[in-house]
Amino acid sequence: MASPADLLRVCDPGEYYRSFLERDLLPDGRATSEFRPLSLQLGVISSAYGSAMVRQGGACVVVSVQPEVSVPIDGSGFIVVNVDSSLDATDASLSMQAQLEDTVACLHSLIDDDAIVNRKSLVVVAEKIAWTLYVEVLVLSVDGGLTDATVSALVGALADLRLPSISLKDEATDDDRPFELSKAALVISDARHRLELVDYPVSSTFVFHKATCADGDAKKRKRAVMRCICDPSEQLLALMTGACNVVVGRQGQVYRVNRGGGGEGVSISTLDTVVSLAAKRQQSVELVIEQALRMRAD
Amino acid sequence: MDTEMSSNTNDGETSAVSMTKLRTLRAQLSVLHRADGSVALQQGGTVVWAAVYGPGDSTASKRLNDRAFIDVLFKPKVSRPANDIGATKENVSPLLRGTCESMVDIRRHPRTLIELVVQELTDDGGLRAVCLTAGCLALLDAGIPMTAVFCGVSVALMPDDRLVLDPPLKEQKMATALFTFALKSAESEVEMISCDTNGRFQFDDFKRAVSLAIEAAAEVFLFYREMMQRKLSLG
Repeated sequence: MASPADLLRVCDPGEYYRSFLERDLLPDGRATSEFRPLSLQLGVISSAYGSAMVRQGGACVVVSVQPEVSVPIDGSGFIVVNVDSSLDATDASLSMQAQLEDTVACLHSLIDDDAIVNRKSLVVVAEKIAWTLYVEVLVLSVDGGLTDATVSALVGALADLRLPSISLKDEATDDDRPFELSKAALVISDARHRLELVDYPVSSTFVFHKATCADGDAKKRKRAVMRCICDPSEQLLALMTGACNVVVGRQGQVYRVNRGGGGEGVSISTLDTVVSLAAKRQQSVELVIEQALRMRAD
Repeated sequence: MDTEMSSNTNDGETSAVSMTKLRTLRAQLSVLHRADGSVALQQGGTVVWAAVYGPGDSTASKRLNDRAFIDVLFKPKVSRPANDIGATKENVSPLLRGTCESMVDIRRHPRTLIELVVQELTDDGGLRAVCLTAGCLALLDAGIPMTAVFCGVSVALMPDDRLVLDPPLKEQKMATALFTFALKSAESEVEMISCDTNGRFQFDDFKRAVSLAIEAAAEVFLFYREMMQRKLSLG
């Protein structure tokens, strides 16, 4: 026999969540300003040059990086991202598909803005050799937090990446003949080096809930407080439209503020709260990544 | 109905004036006769066409029992592969879809499909914001019931910390960050409902950009009013 709370959750999810949110709580026991714990493991795929698995709340994502040698264009290398999800196209709800699309857009945006790795640093020999990093993102499960988990996994995998040192066998300065990569002789040493990460961007997702006023006073309703809820679960995401995704790096550097539409406008003060929560989150996640790197080195 | 709203901007040059004024807005409603609503919108040098079909019949995959399904299709001038990192920057579909779902009265037409197609014709900066504006105009032209009107405004952050409102492409390329906002107007109050950013910035820059966008949106909403008055032949 299901409990009254479970019945309420099925019949009127809005009312169910409202009873928790009024007390700044969420059904899983955490405060609305708390994120779900993040667990990060590096080097989970031994055949990959760099990999990371991140579990945040209910989302589990594995990212692996495979470097390939290529010719640089405009003085920089490349990062190509492919997202593979185990979510069946027919099963995945609209909300999950939208999350997946947003995650891909977020990754592309971070790579294009050189937020994690400066693609110019992927050049090994000017105008001749550069790395192309093929990033495979495998989404294992989703319960909200997909973008957050994926961004952390990407940063982890790139931090974990060990590139072999390569050089051209004969540095012939015969510049008249065009350089052909397929005919070049490369020297690949066993030495591996890590990439220098530009920043450790961290993604945080929020939804907003407007506290309802019992009385019909319109003015009071307008001044009603907009509650920020950190790291919403899947059901909460589907219930409340207008999730906001913020990606911040060190020292207040913001890489992305994205909100895909919601009935309620977002005021500056709400955004202030959101960004400060995101900044705190960035610091704690950066510590987790650094700790994981230290453990890997041992 | 061709309506032009002029503003004293010089489209290509960077001057103190261009910082706080939108480029010239020109629009023509009902340009496509087969669509339920359509608009050809030009903002400065950026030209976009938008068409709305619906509320109408849909396939089972696009049918929701309690609300209308909003399908947004953005057609760039040059189609690029899905893996292209640069392409997602210009993709306005998620932003527009999310905005439409909150602004259109979807509960009124359950089990139907409302299709919004936006075609890029010329990109001279601020493309996504212009697509948002065109989307709303097309919805208004189609007479789709909405809870509020919305528009798109883009703001660029230049390397010298200057903010440029509605930048032309030349300036947009030199910007360190580009903000695209969707703003709604309800009861004469303008609020920001959606946003997306490209590039890196400090949060204070973002706040300044939001205020600038909210001010500028008032002009666009006035333009909507003029357009609709012309269309319905009032005053």
